[in-house]
Amino acid sequence: MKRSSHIVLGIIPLLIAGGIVWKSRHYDPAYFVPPQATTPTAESWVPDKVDTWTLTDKAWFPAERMFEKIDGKDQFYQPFGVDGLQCGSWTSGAEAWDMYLYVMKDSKGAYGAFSGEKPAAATVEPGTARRYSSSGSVVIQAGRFYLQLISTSAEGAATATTITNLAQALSSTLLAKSPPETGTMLILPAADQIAGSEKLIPKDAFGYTSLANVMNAQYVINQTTGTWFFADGGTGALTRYTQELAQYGGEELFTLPDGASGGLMLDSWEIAGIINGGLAGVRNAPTKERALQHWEFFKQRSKPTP
Amino acid sequence: MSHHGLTRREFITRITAATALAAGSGALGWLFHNRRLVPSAGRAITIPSFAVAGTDSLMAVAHGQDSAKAVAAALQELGGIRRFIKPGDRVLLKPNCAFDRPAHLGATTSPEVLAEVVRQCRTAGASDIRVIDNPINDAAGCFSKSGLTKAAEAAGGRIWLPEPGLFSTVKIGPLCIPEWEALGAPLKWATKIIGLPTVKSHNLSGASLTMKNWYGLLGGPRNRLHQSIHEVIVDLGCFITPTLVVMDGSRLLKRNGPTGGNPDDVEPGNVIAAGTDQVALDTFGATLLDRKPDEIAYLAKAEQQGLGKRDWKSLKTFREITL
Repeated sequence: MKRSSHIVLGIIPLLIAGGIVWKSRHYDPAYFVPPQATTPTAESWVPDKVDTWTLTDKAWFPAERMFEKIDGKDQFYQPFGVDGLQCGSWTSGAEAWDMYLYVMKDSKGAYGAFSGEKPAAATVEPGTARRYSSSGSVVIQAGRFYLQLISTSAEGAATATTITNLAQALSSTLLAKSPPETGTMLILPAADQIAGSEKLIPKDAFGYTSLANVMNAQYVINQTTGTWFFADGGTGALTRYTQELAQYGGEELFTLPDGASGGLMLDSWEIAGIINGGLAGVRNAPTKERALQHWEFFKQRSKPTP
Repeated sequence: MSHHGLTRREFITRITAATALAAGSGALGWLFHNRRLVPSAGRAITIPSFAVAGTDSLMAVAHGQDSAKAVAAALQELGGIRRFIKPGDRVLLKPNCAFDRPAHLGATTSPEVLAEVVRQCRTAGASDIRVIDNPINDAAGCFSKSGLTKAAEAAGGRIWLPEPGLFSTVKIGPLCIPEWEALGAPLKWATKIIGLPTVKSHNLSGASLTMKNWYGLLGGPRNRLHQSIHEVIVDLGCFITPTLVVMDGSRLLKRNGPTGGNPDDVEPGNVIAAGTDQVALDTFGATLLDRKPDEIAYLAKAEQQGLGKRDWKSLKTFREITL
């Protein structure tokens, strides 16, 4: 064997050793240090000036860098599907309101964040966009956008009315930039719903892996409270739910003539079936009879308008 | 033996060389693989305990609408500030100033509480009182918007902004982060350290209180630490043994923490808890947030690590007063 062949054979293990070293440095996620923040380049979703208000200190944080602004809270928004966060400060004279505009992937995600943070006592004002106000803050879900306007002054309560026009203008702008809402989130019936109880759970709702994007709310029927929900999926999801109900210890399982199935889970009764082609259900009923009553009301109220 | 021109001696030599190279490769791989969580700038330093001898297992709770008076009263119940701060001490105060939020939103420590602690330290004869945090957002902006700069300076302290040169690799804790980049220089400078956490909910850990507040002394890509939040909080409790903690429960951010943003998420707490047992203080703080101690996983883990007791009423000294 020639000398050069010996050298080549000797180099191969060295290359392997080098590769191991290089790989170990790059395989470990801990070695990934995010690049430094760059000047925001994303589209500015709102105008820089509205009436007497001017937007300053604009900054854009894409989803993977939102921790730079809201570290520890960014993971609340991620499950709903978020593209990023645009921040800024609206000023008019002595007034200053901070803006946190979460750009979600769709209106369902925006509603999930909106409903997830809404205080139970807050009342959503009627309108095309969903909105509630409190002393020193205005919170809006407009299409795929979730907007928070926060007074920098503790006296915000006294001045909250001055921001009404700005909030209205931003709401209109954002709605115009968002595709129309689609999907199951709009069809939970309004009648008998407990105000402020509507929420979106992005995944693993109520402990079931089969229940994702669950829009749910509390209803009172014949003085009995129960939870009604719509979820992603159709008959396939229903089959998985039924399996999980049995697997997780559901008792007294039953199937209804309409194909829905249910049972007793811990101390409450629940039923899931198909309404308008989508997975739907009721839960938290104290008795089987009450659960069936909720289910029948749910089906009746969810009939498509002729 | 000769086979295809290869002698026995050549065969043994080559096998030996190949084995040595393979062993060397393995050794190099072992040597470099996952040895550190982060590349270290140098040798990690150990942060000493800042506790004063004979002051362990203390806690006092003062209820009252006037935060400054409640701070003073709670400290008095512990034996007075002079029990902890001596003339000439260089005192480092660590409030929670994580976000550029105004104080009324409850995401940061109240200026009134910080100011009173500064005044107390001055009364005790501290030679220098500095206020430090490494916020999530721009540090100067956070200190300014939270009102902490104005409060500290008016009371005789000063803000120490987290300049890059202040960081070094330090030892943290036994569970997740043996060492990390932190504000080593200020910790080396200080002779005493007082934690001034606010009481707020936290999206991941359930509560952000005394131990979580030390997160603000870290640098580097610390957002990664949220992946094992409860173990990391215990590590943070091991990282700093403070001289004293003054927990600010004047406002309680009960929902949507750690950032908050809606004034309706904030409720008046009208309570100050001072003490030296981080676990006891955090357990008490959790109850202010309407959380059961069992719901906050790090509390039991911290107790197992010997950082303190969850049963605050069984401490050597526990006092509770209403102003």
